[in-house]
Amino acid sequence: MNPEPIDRISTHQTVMFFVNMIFGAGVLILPRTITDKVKTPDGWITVIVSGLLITLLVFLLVMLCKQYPNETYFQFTQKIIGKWLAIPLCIFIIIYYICLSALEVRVMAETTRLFLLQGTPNWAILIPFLWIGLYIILGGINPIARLLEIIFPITVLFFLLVIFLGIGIIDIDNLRPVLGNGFKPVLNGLKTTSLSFSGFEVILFIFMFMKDKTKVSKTIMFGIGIPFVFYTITVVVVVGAFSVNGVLLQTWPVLTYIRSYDIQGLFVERFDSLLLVIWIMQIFATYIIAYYICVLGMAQVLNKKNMKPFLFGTLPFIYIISMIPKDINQTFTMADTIGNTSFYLFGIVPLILLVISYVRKKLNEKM
Amino acid sequence: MRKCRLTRIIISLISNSILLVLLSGCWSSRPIEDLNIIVGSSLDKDGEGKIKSTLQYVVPEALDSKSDGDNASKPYINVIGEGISLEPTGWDTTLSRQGYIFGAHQKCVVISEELAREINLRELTDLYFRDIDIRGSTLIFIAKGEATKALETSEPNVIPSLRIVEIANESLTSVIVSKTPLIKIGGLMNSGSSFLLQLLETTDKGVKFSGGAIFNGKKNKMIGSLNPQEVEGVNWITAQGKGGAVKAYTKKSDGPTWFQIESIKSKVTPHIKDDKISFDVKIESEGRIAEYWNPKLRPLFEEKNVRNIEKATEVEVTKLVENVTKKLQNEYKTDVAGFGNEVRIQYPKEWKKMSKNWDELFSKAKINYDVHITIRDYGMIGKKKK
Repeated sequence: MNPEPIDRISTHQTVMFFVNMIFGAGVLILPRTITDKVKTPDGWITVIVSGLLITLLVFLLVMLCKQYPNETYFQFTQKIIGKWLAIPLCIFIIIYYICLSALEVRVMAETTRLFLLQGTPNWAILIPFLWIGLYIILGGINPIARLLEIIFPITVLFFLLVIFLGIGIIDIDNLRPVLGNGFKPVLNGLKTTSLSFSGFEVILFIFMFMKDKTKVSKTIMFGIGIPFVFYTITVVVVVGAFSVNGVLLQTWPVLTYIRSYDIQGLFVERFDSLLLVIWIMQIFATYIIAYYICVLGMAQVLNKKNMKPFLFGTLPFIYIISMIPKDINQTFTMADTIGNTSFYLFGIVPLILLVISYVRKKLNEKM
Repeated sequence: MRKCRLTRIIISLISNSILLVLLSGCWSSRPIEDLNIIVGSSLDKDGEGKIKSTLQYVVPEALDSKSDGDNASKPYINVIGEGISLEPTGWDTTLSRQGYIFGAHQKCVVISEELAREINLRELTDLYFRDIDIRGSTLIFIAKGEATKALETSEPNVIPSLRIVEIANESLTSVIVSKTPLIKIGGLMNSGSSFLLQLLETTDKGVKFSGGAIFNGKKNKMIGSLNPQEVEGVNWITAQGKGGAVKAYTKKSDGPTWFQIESIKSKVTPHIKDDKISFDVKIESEGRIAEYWNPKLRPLFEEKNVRNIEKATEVEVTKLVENVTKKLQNEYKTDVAGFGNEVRIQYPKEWKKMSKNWDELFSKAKINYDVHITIRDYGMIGKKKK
């Protein structure tokens, strides 16, 4: 076990970890998945409610982390529930992250093949992507953090630009009535929207690396707050442009939205390619964080200091898993499965751990 | 040290020159000259029950060269393909013309009335929604007679499909149906509501916008059309007119007098009482007197005379909207003026039941209009010398 990590990341960088991990391929289909469940124009309210719930959850996770400030989730689970229960759990988490990074890579390849590089074979898109990820992780957590700092402003700027350029095709009537069918439809969509925030669990693994651990609540507010604002804007704008029934038709509603307006007199006409090129960076960020966490997990579970062998060993698996889904529907199914797993893995298990750790503490005090 | 620097320079030189070669290549690039860039297309019914699709390609070279009257080449070319649906028609054109078909710049689709009355619009436009290149801002039009004629012109240096789109985008008067891009009708068709599409008329001189085509939401087929005056009525109800003029006299002797629209506001309030639906529509408009032929030429500096013209305009507008409502309720039994949308917004619970047979309920609904016209000014002249 590495008792004293040399690498430290600043508060600002921790926020970047949050934001970049939460943003991923999911936002491109978010308006549809929400509206599919809610069936009224109230999807954006669902986003707000689940954003608040997730913030609460993350605060609970941090309470857990604070008890073991110098260890990651992989290490302190062993202390809480013992080796025999903790190691299978850790292995499960590692597999989860391999699958997650494979999924991100696959979605990237899928959208690129559709919209940008028609005719380029999948492997030619995937392999450079995978290798560059490998290269940055070789440097440890600090280069990743610095890369995220560069990626974040660029992607955010372009995303907002592209979303707001289409403000003209939004019809407010499509968003009305607000809460017309009461609050029940909003609750129906709660699970889907909460899953869109998955990635918040990154705090379990990077809390150890934080330089100033007292500022963690501020980190959470920004780390969840930024995606929260983003998601709300996206859902409002896309549903406003398409109407509820229109959104349900679209495979990639956000991309269709960007292709649906013309800005007269502007030279660039195809903003969708622009956004995709930018958004690939965001997918890349999610991929490297997931990749890093799973390699970190392997090293810590097996008590090895050197991460390199695991790093090279995992890469082929990511490639193979990313190639398993045969078509777009299987890819979406894979995404759903991974989302549901994350709900149990990081929504419920840590809470149980929290309770157990408190009970243990109380018992220890009594003794 | 020196040696080290030298090897560094050499390595960077080699790697840079490799990059130069690699970066300039692109895996699946297609030279733009080899692309057939579609700007518009039209769909017609073939004599043998097939679909005849006309694709309009731009010829960029002809656009650049300065035209010298007669010998100037046309900046577009129309290619015709046939098939039982749209996909085979596209491939059909590749048998007679080289190059890939590139749809990302397609701006409009003109469908002939005959085809629109026969084939479900959702099926007909499926390809446009599904295709990855074609954009959601593509406009849909219906043409009286042959649609392919709408994509032709005798004028040099004009691309007909771009002209149609330009007119639709400007929508200067209130007798044009508000434009209907793919994404808008996608939602409408999926929700089963009825809607209007812009109707084109082809004359010898070119295309003219003339009224709207009514589409039934359940069948997704064209069931009738509205003439420009009726479209004007719909636009007054939905407050979508950007400009235009309305008759501002009731008696013929008052001579042509015209009210020029500056802004329209409307508010549709549905009322539901024991399964009976009624609507109160309040329309407000501001504008000016644009033309005043009245032989008596009453001085407009006097408020009383302005009021009289306002009254006359109100009567005329009420006539317009009531006329179209009657036609929609009695003849077509279809709601294309957005009344259903207001019910959906203001009575969401009741709407769930009503949406299934909305067109029927709409045709029985009582609709009251309250038109209020304000004349802000009367231009540069006001009074005749006595």
